[in-house]
Amino acid sequence: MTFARETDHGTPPALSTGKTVTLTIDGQSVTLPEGTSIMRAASLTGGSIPKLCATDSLESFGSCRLCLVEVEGRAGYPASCTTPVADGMVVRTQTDRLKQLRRGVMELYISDHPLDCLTCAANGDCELQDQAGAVGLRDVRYGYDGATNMGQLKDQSNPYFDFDPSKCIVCSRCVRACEEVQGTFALTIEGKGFDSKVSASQDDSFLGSECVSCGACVQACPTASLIEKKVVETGTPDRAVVTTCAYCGVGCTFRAEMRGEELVRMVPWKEGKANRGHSCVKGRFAWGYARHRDRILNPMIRASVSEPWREVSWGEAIAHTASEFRRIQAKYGTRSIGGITSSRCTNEETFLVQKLIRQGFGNNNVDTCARVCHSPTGYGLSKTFGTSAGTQDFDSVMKADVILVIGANPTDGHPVFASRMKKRLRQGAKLIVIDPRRTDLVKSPHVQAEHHLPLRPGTNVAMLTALAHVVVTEKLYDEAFIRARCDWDEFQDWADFVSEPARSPEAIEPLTGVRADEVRAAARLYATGGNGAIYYGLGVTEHSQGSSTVMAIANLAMATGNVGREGVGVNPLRGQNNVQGACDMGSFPHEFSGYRHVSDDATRGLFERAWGVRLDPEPGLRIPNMLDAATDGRFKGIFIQGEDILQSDPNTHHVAAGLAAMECVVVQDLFLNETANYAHIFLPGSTFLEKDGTFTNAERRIQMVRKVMAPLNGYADWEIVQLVANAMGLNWTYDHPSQIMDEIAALTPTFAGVNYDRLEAEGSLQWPANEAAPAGTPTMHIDGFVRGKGKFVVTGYVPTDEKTGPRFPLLLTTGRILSQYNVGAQTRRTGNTAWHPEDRLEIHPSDAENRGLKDGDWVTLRSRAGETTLRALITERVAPGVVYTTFHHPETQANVITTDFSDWATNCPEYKVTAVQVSASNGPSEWQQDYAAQARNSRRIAPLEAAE
Amino acid sequence: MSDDIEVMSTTGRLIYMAHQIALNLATMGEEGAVTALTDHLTSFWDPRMKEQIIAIARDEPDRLSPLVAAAVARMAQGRAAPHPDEDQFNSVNEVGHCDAG
Amino acid sequence: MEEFIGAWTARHGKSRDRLLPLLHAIQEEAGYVDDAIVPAIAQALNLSRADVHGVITFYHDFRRAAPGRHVVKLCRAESCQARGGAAIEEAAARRLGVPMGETRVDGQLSLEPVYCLGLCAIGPNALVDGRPVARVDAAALERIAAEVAA
Repeated sequence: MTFARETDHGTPPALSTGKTVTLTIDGQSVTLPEGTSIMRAASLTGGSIPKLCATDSLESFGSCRLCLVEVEGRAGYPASCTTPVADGMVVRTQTDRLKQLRRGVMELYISDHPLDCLTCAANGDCELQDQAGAVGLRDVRYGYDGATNMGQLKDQSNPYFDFDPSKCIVCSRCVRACEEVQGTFALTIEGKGFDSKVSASQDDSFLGSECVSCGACVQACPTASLIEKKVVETGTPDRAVVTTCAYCGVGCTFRAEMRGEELVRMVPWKEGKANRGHSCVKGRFAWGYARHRDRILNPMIRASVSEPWREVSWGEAIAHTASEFRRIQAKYGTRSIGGITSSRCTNEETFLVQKLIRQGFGNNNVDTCARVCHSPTGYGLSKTFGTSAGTQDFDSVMKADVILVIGANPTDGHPVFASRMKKRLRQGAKLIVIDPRRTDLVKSPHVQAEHHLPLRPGTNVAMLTALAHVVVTEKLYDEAFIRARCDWDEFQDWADFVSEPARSPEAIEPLTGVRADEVRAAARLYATGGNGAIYYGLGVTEHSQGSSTVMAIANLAMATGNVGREGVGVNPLRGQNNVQGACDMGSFPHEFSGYRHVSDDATRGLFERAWGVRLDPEPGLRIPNMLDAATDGRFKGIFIQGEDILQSDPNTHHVAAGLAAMECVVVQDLFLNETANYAHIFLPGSTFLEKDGTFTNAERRIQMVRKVMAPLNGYADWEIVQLVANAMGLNWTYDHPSQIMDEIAALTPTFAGVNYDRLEAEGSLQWPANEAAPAGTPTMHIDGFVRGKGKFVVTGYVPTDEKTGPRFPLLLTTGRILSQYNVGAQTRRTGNTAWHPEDRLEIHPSDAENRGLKDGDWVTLRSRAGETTLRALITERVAPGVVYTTFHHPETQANVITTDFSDWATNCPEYKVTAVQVSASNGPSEWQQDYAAQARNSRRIAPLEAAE
Repeated sequence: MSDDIEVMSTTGRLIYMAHQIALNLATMGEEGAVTALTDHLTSFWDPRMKEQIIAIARDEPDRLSPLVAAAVARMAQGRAAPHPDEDQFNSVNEVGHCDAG
Repeated sequence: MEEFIGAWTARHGKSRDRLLPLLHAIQEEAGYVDDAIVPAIAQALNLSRADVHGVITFYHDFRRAAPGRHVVKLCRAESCQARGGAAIEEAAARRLGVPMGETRVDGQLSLEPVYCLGLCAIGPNALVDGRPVARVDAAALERIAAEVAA
C-alpha cells in the first residue's frame, strides 16, 4: 500500500431514514439518502468543494465559509456542509462568483497565517495549503503589518504532539473532535473575534489540562497547529499499512504511516469497524517501546538464575530449549512440563504454542493469561448461553437505551469503546454503574449515571441476585422471551430462588452497603427502560464468585429478554488485544480451539488425524496449579510466551517459589520482564509491527495484523515457536501465518469460513463465520442460544473467605489507568509515564485521617500475603474502608499483596478483594529492596567473549 | 477470619478448592451438587490433582466433607478403567514420530 | 464560594443550561468570576473546565479579576466615537490614572469599555458604578474623578 490520505467527504453519512432524494450537481444527476449534505453529495459524485472546518468525522459546523455553493432559486450562497440535499435541487459548486468569494475568504485566513510552508512540518500534508491552492490564492492584499496571531509560544507539554497557536485558523475542529469523538470536552475556544484562541481547559498546558491525549484533535487539525512530534522530527510519511493495535481488547485498526522502515505515526483507520476512526493515547502514540533500548534482540541462556545471561546464536538457543524439555520429560515424565500462550500474540502464534504443547509436549498443560482475567466469562457464558464470548458488536451500544456497567472502567481500560458509549449517553441513553469506585462514567463532564451502586467489593452476586429479585417479584420479566428461548422449568427454579425475601435489596443492604431503594430503582430501569445492554469487566470476574457473577448477569439478561438483537446483550470487555483469540485458539488446559473439551473423542480424533499423534484426553494444569505442582517438585519446565506472570499473577511469593522450583523456565518476550528473572532461556520476541497474523477483539472480530517492518530480533514469534517445535521433532512447515489460519479453520467449526483472502477483502470477520453464518456474526443468539435453550443457573452467594478483621481492616481492590497498560512492559517504556509515573494507593480522606496520612505520603500496604510501599492519593473516588491501586509498576509489585484465593470454578484470582492494612512508612519494604537487588543481579548480561 | 488463614500447602489448597466448588454448587441440592462436582473435577482437574484428591479421600477421609467425598468417589469410579499411562503420549524417547505439517 | 454554588444550584437546578445564570449570580455575589472557582462551577453543572472557561472568556461582561471599588465604563461604539469618544477615553485614562481595560493599582477603580448604552444622541456616554452619565467632557470627567475618589 502506498501513501494516500484517506478520503474525506466533509460531513458524516446521513442518519438512515430509508428515503432518497435526487438532485443535480454541476449538471450531473445524483440520487442519495435524505439528509446528506451538499458537500458530501458532491464528494461522493467525484467533485470536491473547498472546505476547512468540515471533516467527515465531525458534524457539520458551517464556520469557515469556504464551501459556499450556488443553489438555483435560492438567494445567497449557502454553505454546502450545512445544507442538506433536496429533491430537484440544482447545485453549482464551481462558478466565477464562487471562486471570487472563496478566494476572498482564503485571503483573510492567510493574512493571519505564517508563510513558512517550505519549513513547516505539515508541508505536503496540510489542508490549508491544499485549499489555498485549490481556490487559486495568489496574493494577500492586506499585507502582514497589522495585528496578527503569529509568533505565539508553542505548547510542547504533551509528550507526543505540539500545539502552535500561530498556525491555528480557529476552525474548531479540534474542539469538536474532543467533544463529539472523544467526549472529554477538554478544549474550548477562548475569547472571541480576533482574540479567539484554542485553549486546553483554562488556558492550561495540554499536559496540565483535562486532555487525555487520545489524538482526535491532532487528527482533526487541518494545519500544523496540532501535529505529532514524530512528524516534526522525521518528516511526512511515504506509505501506509493498515494494521491492528496490540493494546486492549477493543481492537482498533490503524494506518501505520511509514517513512521507509521508520514508523512515523499511527493514525486510526476510518474504515475500522471496532474503532470507527478513533483512538486512545496508547494505540495512537505509545508504540515507541518497539524500538526501546531495553529490547532484547539476541537469544540468551544460563545454567542458573544466579548467573549472568550469556548471548548465544538462535540455533544454540533453540536446540538447548528442545533438549532441556526432552531431558526433563525423560527424567520426570511427560506431564512435567507445560506452557503459557500469550494474549498479546496473534491467533496463529497462540495456536502454535498450544499445538506445540499438545502435539510436542504430549500433554494439555497449556494455559493463558485469560486464567487471571476472563476465565469466568468462558465458564459462565458457556454454561448459560453455550459459548464463551460477548454477544454484540461495539456498534450495538448506539442502539442501547439503558446501559448497565458492572465492574468495568471503560474510560480507562477500553477508552475508544468508552467514547462510543459516552456518545450514546449524550444522546439520552440511561446509565447504571455497579462499582465500588466512583469511576469517570459515574460522573464526568456531560455524563452522569442515573444510578451508581457503590457496593462493597466481593458482593456482586448478592447485588445481581437482588436486582433479579426485583425483576421477578415485581413481574418485570419478559415471559414471552423466556418461554420461547429458555427452559421454563429452570427459569421457575431460578425465579423461586431469587424471590426469597433473604435475597431482596433490603435484606442484602447490610452486605453490599447500597441503599435498597436505589437497587430497586436500578432494577426497574434496566428491566423496563427499553434495550438493556450489560457491559462488564474484571470487577466481575476477578473474585472468588467470578463465574457465579457472570452467570447471574446472564440470568438477568435472559429474564428481561435482553439477548439476541442489537442494542442489548451481555458484553465482557476483554482486557488484552487478543485475549478473546487466545481463548478461541485452545489455550485452556481442558479444551481445543473452538471450546471443545479434550475428552471429546470426536474432536480429539480430528486433531489426532491432523497432527499425526495420540493426544491426551485428560485436562492439563492451570497456571496456579502448575505453580503448585512445581513447588511439589512435579512440574519442572515451562515455556512462557509474552506474559509476565511474576508481576501480573496473584501472590508474587507463590509465583516466585513456583518458578524457582523449576529446572527450565523459557521466557519469550520483548524485554527482560520480571518473570525472566527466574528464567534459564530467553528467546527475544517480536512486536506486532514486525509480523503478520490476526487478533480477535472483544466483539469476536478477527482483524489483520500486518508486518510494517522486519523483526529486529530476526524472527516473528510464530517462526520461533516453529523452530522450537521442529527442534523437538515435529516437522512443521509453515511459510506464512495464513497457512496456520487455514489449519485453524479446518479444525475449528466456528472459524471454518475464515481465511486471509476474505479478511483482506472484507477487512474483518466476526466468528462464528462458517456455512451457517457466511458473513460472520455481529450479534449472537438471534434465533436461539448456541446451546439451544438459554439456561438459568441458580447462583448462590458464597462470600469470599478473604475478610477484613482487626489486623487487616481495609479492602484493597486493584485496577488500571488510561495511560498505562497491564504490567506496563510497553507503556512504561513510552512517553505515557508523563501521566502515571508510579502506582498510587487511593484512600478515602477519613481512612487517611485516621492514620495521620497526607496526600503523597509513603505508606506501607500489608496483607497476609505480603507487603509493599507506595505513595497515597487521598480521594473520595473510593468509599471509606476501600483502598485501590494499579499494578503497572514492578517497583510497587501490587501483587505481593494479593492472595491466592480464586474463583471457585476457574481459579481466576481474586484480585479485587484483599484485606489489608495501611500505615505510614519511610520507604521501600524489605521485599522491595531484596527484589530490586535480585532483579539487578538477575538481569546481568555477560559481555561477549572474543571469538577464539 | 482472614487473619488466621495462612498460606496453604498445595494439598491444603486442593482440599480448599474442592470444598469451595462444592459450596458454590450447594444450591443445586445434594444429588445435584455431587453430580456437578464430579463433573467439574473430571472436566477441569489434571490427572495428578485427581489422583491426589483420591489419595486424600483414601488416606485422610476426615479432611473431606461428605459431599466432596461422594463426588471424589464417583469421579474415581469414572476413572476405573485403567487411565492411560501418561507415557503413552509422545513418549520422550520417541521424538519425531509425528508427520503433521 | 463552593457553598454559594451549592446553594444556588439547589435553588435553580444544575442542568448544563444553568451556566450563564450561575455565572451572573457569582459575578453579582463576588464582583467577578475567579479562575480558581471554575473547577467548582464545572463540577456543579457537570461540565468540563474548558466548557466554563470558553463561556466566561467569550462574554466581555464576565470579569476574571476583582474590579476596583468603583467601575467606570466608557462607551466605544460608533456614535460615541463620532462625538469625540476616543479623545475622552484618552483623557479619562490620564485623569483617572488607569489605562482602559484595567484596574488601578490601588484597587480604587476600574476603567472598562462598553459597546453602546442606547444614548447615542447625547454621547459620549459613560456608566459610573451603574449610573449613566451623558455628554462626557473635561468637566464631567472632573466630577467623575471626584466621585470615584471616595
